Amino acid sequence: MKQPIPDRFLISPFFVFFVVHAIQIGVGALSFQRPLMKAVGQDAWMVVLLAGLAAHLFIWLMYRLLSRAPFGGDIVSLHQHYLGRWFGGLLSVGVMCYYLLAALTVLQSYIEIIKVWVFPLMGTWQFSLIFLALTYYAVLGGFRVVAGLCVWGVVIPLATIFPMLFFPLEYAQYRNLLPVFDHSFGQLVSASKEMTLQYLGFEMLLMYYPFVKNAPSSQKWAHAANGFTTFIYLVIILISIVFYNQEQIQHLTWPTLTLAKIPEVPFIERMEYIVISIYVLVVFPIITLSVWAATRVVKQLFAVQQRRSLPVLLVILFIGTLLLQEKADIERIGQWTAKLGLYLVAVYVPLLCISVWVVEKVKKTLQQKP
Amino acid sequence: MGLFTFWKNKKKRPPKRPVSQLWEQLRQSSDFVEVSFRVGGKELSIYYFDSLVDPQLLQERILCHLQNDIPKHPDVRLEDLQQIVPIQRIEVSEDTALIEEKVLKGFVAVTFREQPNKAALMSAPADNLGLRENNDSENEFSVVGPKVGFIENIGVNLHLLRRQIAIPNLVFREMAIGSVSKTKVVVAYIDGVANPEVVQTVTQRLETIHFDVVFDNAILDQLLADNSRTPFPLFISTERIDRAVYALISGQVAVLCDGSPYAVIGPAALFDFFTSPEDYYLPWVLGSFFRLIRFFGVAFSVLASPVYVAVLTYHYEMIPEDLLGPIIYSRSNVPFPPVLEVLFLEITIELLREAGARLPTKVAQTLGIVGGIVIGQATVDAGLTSTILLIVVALAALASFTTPIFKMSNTIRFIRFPFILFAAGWGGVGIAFAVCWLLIHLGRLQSFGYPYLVPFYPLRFPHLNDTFIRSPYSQAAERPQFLRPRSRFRFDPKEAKQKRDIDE
Repeated sequence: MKQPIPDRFLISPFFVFFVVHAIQIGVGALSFQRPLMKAVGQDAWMVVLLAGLAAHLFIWLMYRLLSRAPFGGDIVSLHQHYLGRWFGGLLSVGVMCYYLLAALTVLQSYIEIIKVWVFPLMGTWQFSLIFLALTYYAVLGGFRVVAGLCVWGVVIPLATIFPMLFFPLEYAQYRNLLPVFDHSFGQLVSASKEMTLQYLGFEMLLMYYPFVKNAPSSQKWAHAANGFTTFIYLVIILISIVFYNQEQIQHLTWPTLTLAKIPEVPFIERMEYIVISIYVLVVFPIITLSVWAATRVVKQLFAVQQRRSLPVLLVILFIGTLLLQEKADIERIGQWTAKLGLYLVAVYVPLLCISVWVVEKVKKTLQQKP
Repeated sequence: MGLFTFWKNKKKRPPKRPVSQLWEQLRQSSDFVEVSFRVGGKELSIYYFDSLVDPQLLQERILCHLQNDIPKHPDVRLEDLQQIVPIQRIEVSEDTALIEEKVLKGFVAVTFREQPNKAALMSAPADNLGLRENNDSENEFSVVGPKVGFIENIGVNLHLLRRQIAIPNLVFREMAIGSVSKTKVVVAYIDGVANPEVVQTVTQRLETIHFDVVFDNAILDQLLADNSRTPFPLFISTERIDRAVYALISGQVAVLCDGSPYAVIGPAALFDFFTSPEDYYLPWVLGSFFRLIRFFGVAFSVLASPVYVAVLTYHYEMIPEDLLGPIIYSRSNVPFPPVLEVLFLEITIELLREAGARLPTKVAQTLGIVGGIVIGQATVDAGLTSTILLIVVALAALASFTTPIFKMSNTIRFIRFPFILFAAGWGGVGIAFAVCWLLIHLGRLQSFGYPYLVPFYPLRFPHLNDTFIRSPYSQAAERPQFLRPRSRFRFDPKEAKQKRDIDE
């Protein structure tokens, strides 16, 4: 029997809003328009809504699953309880690898943005090293510190970057939105796969669920966070649709950053530098929470202190950023993460949910029979 | 005798020794006085330190009564002296350690021949001798409001606190700290408001302190701190009575120490350091406005020179065309990269400040003018720095002094330097890294076990009304809940919030 986590390490349910939202919005928010509009053009905003609804469903399923989890409350203990030590452990290792991969994707994509936009000549290793050193410092502080970072990662960008998005509306062509419903439902659904990486992030719940005080009551906040994420993506995509024409956007890798070039203030120009700088605060919580979740898996699985496993995982990430620097590599990692994440939340969690449900049913009937 | 001998002394207590041995030891000093005389068939001895005892008190209250009244009561014992000598709380003791402690704190010991191992201890200290009588709270000045500050005498300080908190719940708990100084330290809190857990933490931490001389409360402040490796002050230290009283009524705990005109108040949150009592004396609209100015000052002070470095080193595209002219004009003669330029000026200002603080007031003023105007002008003329940077750095220095608590303004000046270095290394992204680092650091800090960033993280919405803005008193009836006070309201919120209809 594992000890429950002491009260002073827990966060209140309300903070799940910040944690879920901060992890969902990431580097993807800068670049998701191009593939989306390539697939469905001006109807892209429907895809954003559709994917948001799907994410709601998956969050709901995840809470169903986690509320059944025994004592530990996270996915590792769930695996051990229902799938046995070896098979369950193997799957937990898989989850850990996914978390690391997610951290690597975000780190790499952000460093790529820095290199393309700001410092073309500086080595990846410098940024990666600083990021990982800061991650080390943050994760040592425990989950509460990481969750605190998520709060700042939501509040500061929301106060600074978000208002900048509305400046381009000065040049908006609202007719770009027409014709509506130009694409079939099938097209929309297949395009919504492009939004996977953008909405992923709530799957970290599988690890930090036991760190939430009165966890089941946090579900509404998780849904609210997802709703807010949907809202922000919707704003971004609508502004992008009315500001760019469809030909133009196919030539931009990071349309959101180009949007940030538009605001004009008397004493400063090229706002995208500010956006990129502040984006450190958006990216950083994602990396920290992923690494924290990975160390937590290691702790639950192998009973290795998080303090010990943390440097090892960080070194792995550092080597990863050094080895995979080409744009093609980064894209491939991103696709893997998206695919893995999609399987995790859309296939694996529902399956697990059903099997847990079946197991419980069978147990109950067996108990009742004699 | 090393500096740390008190460690060893602590471990093996000397065996109990007779009182006569103590007198033997004390006789070595020339200011130790031993008077023996006969009154009415009794042989009396009086022992005291000339330097610690008030001679008038000694003559009028002790000697006079001993000499006049003892002959009237021939079988008086030490224990009966309280009836003769008009001095409060006369203690009779056989404990040599206690006698030693009291005599060293300005007590007079009276012994009778018949009871050589017992002494009656009468308090006659020259309390205010050599100490100042008043403090105009010049270091935490406010234009409006009382100017009374704490002084070095703890008795007076406690008196000042009790004058404003006239309820029986105000509790002072006394202890002695310091193996050499035996300083009187008092923990003050309001019973029924302060969280007992905090009171316990404070007392416990104070009890475990091993130190020789407590020179000032600032030493206790450091020894009490949850984390000693942070530049941020974890407790407020104030010399203002109103601030200390306000802290006590909101449920914080104050630690006062004899010989220090500062009270250490905890648990403190980051935002407490940016509030000034004056905010509460001005109408709330003005109070809030000046508080916002102060926050802006802090942000500006930390970020101004790093942003200058970042923009001029890496992101010159960000400068608009119209601004580019003046900047090129002022920087065209400067042979250094922006980092060196900024570091040069920042260090100059720090030097000026440090020199100004160490010099006598009159010289310091001259130095400020010579340093500020002459050196500033000369460096620009010599082409060592640009005029624009001079303005930026001077403004940033100015802004850092808007912080009401001196310790915090020191911290702000200090954290500027890592920011400048990060900006020099990685431009705007570097500044963001530094901000991240700062946020993590602040997130990890605790003050008496309470999070430092409260009410932002953990978020406490009701308490936000007294952070960036100072809300009107009708909204401020509730005590900050993060302190988990035992009682929730400062005054009745319903009466304060009552609204009248128009023309009623």
